[in-house]
Amino acid sequence: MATLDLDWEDVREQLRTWREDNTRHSEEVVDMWDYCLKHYKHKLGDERWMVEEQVVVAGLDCYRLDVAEPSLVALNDQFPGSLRVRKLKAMRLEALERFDEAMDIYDSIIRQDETNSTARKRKVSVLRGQGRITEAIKELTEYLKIFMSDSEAWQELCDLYLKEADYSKAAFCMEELILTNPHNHLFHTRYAEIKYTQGGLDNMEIARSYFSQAAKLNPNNVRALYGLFMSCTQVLSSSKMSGPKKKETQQLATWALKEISDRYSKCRTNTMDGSKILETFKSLSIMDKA
Amino acid sequence: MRPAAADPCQLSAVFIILPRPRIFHIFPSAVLPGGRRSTHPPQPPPPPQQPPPLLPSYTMSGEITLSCPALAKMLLHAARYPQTAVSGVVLAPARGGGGGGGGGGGGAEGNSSTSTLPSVTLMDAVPLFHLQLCLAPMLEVALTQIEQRYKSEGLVIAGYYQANEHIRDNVPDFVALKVAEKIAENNNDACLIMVDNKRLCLSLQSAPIIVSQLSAEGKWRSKDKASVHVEEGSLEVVSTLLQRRVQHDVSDFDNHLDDLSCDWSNPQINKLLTTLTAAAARD
Repeated sequence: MATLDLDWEDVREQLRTWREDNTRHSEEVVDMWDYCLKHYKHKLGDERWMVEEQVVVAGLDCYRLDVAEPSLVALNDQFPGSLRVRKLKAMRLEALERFDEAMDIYDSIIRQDETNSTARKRKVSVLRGQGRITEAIKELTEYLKIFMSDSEAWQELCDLYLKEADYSKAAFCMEELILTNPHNHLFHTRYAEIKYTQGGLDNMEIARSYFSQAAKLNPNNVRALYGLFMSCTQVLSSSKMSGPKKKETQQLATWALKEISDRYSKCRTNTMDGSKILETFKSLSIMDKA
Repeated sequence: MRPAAADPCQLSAVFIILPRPRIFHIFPSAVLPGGRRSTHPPQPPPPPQQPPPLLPSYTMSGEITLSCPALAKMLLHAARYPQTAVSGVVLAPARGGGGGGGGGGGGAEGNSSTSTLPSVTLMDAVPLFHLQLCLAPMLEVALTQIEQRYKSEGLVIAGYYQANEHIRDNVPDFVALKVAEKIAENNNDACLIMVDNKRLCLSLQSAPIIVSQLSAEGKWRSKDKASVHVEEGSLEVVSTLLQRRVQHDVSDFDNHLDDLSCDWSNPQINKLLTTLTAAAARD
């Protein structure tokens, strides 16, 4: 990683992009800070404190306390008594596995500010970090009773339910997400995958319709296309289907396979043989037609 | 730079879980848990304690050998996504006639009447998922493609590996058990490999894995350390790869679904490993 050659302004731009997109690149943030930006921190102006916060979180994420702690100290000196900095201190305690102390700090933040959602969410993370999934679920459902439009929290709840193999409740969470974000093809795909996993003809038909909706919303969604093909073949293998419906499903399956083959031929790599892959899947569908 | 994963559940920094699993030993000069600072560059970790076996070890068991590519791809995959659980399959040469392979029916009779399992060599591994391990459709697609792809090379799916989210968790969950059972239906010697996160570090002293196989009673029993071997020199090679951060070049099936040009068979890793093992052999 040639971070030593990077222009500090480029690094600043990159960190800003990651901050705005809220994506997780902890290793890179730590490297960029350590090798480059930390020497220019006085040139960052007001942005410096947001960068320091980003560095603290990234440092804790990579267990680089040597990187996180100086930034945390700098933030504390600049903003004494700030709740946001207190949250970072609690995160540091989490990294050191002093979970009870971290929980106490989050509770104190919530007592001081009832509307603080991040501290409540950190409590859920503490529980998940200890492996106490059922308690984390309970805490998160309490949170969602208050902050019911928080998409991120619904996603996390779906994740937790899937860890507990509670597919029906996970599906419910995805339903909530689809209601608030009906144009997000990823939510449709995830919901369809959960329905497919639950199994049974009804769920398979629901999966098929959500996969097709996802494919409609984003024709480049390969998961949706594969999922559509798989759910169609599963539906076809069930005997209780009327003639025209069967035909329709078969056409859908054939269309999905063709779309996948087009995608493979578009990327034109010599290692991934698209036609061979399709042979495999065509044979699956032929077997089911029999 | 690969396109960002199309993860509907991309979590922001608000939900990250601390302490981070699998990172404790990945970076040099990491503070060891409990606050003891290691002042030297990668110090070997304390001798690995025997991880608690799932169930009493199956004494009359066959030997399991992992080749360098299999071990490397497993550990690199786990190192690439330290914040989440990862899974994949391992491949072994197809058995010619009798024993493993072939369809399910009457499996018990197919095996020899003694309780000794034949030895298994795991030749390669294919990393599968890091987003959601427990969803069926993409898993089915992946297994079908892998079977088809490696049939011509005489390899079959011989096991499933998983690295859990938590650093101290190396117990197979329902997903691992389900998938491994499914694989075992087609292959009697199927292995269930759990990555031991705590032992994954930059200078490996022992293979950080726990291998289990199905016993006659249908329960997964972990094999004792003496029956699990790794190819000569692979621990050093894998440690070198981890130090050089090669894990960012490993593609899994999830990456492939997001960008079809990513090759989940990772031929570049195989090539790299051949070069490194040859170089090590010369020394």
